[in-house]
Amino acid sequence: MNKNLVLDISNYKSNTDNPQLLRVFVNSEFTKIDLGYNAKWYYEKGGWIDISPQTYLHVLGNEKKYLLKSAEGVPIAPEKNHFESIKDWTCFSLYFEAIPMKNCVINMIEAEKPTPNDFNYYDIVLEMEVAMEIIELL
Amino acid sequence: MPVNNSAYRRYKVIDMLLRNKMKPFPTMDDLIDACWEKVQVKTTLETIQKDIARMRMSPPDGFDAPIYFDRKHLGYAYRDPNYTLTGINLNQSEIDSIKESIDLLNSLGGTRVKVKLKNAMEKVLSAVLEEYNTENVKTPVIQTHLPPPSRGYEYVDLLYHACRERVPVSFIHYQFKKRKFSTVLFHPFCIKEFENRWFVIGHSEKEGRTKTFGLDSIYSPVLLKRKFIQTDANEVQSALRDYYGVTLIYDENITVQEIEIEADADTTYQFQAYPIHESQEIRKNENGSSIIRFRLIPTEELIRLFLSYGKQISLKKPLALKKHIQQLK
Repeated sequence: MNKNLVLDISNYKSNTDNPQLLRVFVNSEFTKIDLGYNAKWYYEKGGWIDISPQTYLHVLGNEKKYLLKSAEGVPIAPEKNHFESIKDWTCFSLYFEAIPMKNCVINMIEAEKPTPNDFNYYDIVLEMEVAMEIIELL
Repeated sequence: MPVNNSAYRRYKVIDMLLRNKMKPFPTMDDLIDACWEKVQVKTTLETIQKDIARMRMSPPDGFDAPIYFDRKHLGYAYRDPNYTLTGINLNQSEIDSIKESIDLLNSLGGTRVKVKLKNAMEKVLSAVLEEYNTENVKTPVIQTHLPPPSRGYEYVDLLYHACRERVPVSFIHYQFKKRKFSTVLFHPFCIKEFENRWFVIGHSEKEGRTKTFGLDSIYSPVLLKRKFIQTDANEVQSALRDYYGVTLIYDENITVQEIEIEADADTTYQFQAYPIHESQEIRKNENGSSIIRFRLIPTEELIRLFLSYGKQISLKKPLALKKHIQQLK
């Protein structure tokens, strides 16, 4: 099965909603997670953003780490994207190794001993029966 | 055997002369002179003879051109008077129309739809062996105001496809004022441009109603293999007819309203010269001022237009819109 599926995970709730999880794309080649981030008012000019190259996905019940392969809209550390104002925002996508295309619960881990500034998300539920198939525009 | 550009241009000239009904049966000298004049390359009798031989050859080497030498008129002609070198017989007026259309397309933005249309038209021109050399065009005869593309303009092609083929779309939406991200499952039916701002209108599956999104606020749209939800035909008609601009000022859907403004004489002249909507009705006073009425669904763009006239106009109806504008001031 060579399907390309997308799941809406914008209802995911956690301690942090910035960045906010938005969509997960699953297929046989990669797993992509879309996120949205608002620059923070308490940092000068909104601060900066990056993503650790050590970021990975963990599927519950499976010890394998699905590693970050690439990113769009966010630089991989040590590169940084400095915002220009506290009103700035960015939508970004993280590409990981492909997780199994079946119902599962995943964690996204940027740091194993996280600080409040790390992007760790736990218990993201992926139900394949509500996933939508994507059509490629040729 | 490839045809070089110079030979190709000579074939065009020969074809043109052979099809010229005003001066049939051109002689060899006519052909040589015309080639010299049009192609600006010295052409010999041997060259033209070879060109005619080549044109007579079957495709792909030649064009199967039924050229013969008429001994009675001492000139060349096509045996089949309807023959053209390419099979497409456009007259000069039709060729000019295509060139004008290409000019017009060039004055529009660079979507894939435009590029495809332009390529198709240039293909037709090349099929009639009519060159369209854009390098020779010095100043465009038709010019439209074309600011740099806005953010999200790159999605026009995908959304155009979605509207035309009725394919649902998933995208990320960012509300700048609320600083809020959301995912949208959308069934679009129309892309609308207003003052170089692009919008997509359709049915939002989550909200269960017709919505409009600025392309500047959407991210990563993807087409979905999913049943398309058709928007009610009346809503489609209304979305295309009852708005000046696009952005609704109220969150909920509202119906068409009677909007009435009082305008001074200068502004009345402006509205007379440049009506903003087909429902516009002007009732003039003796001094040139007027009462102008519209039947529209209020939008942000309409309010911006009214406010841009300052004290030259005043909103009379409806009361709710009047209050809304007062709150903005």
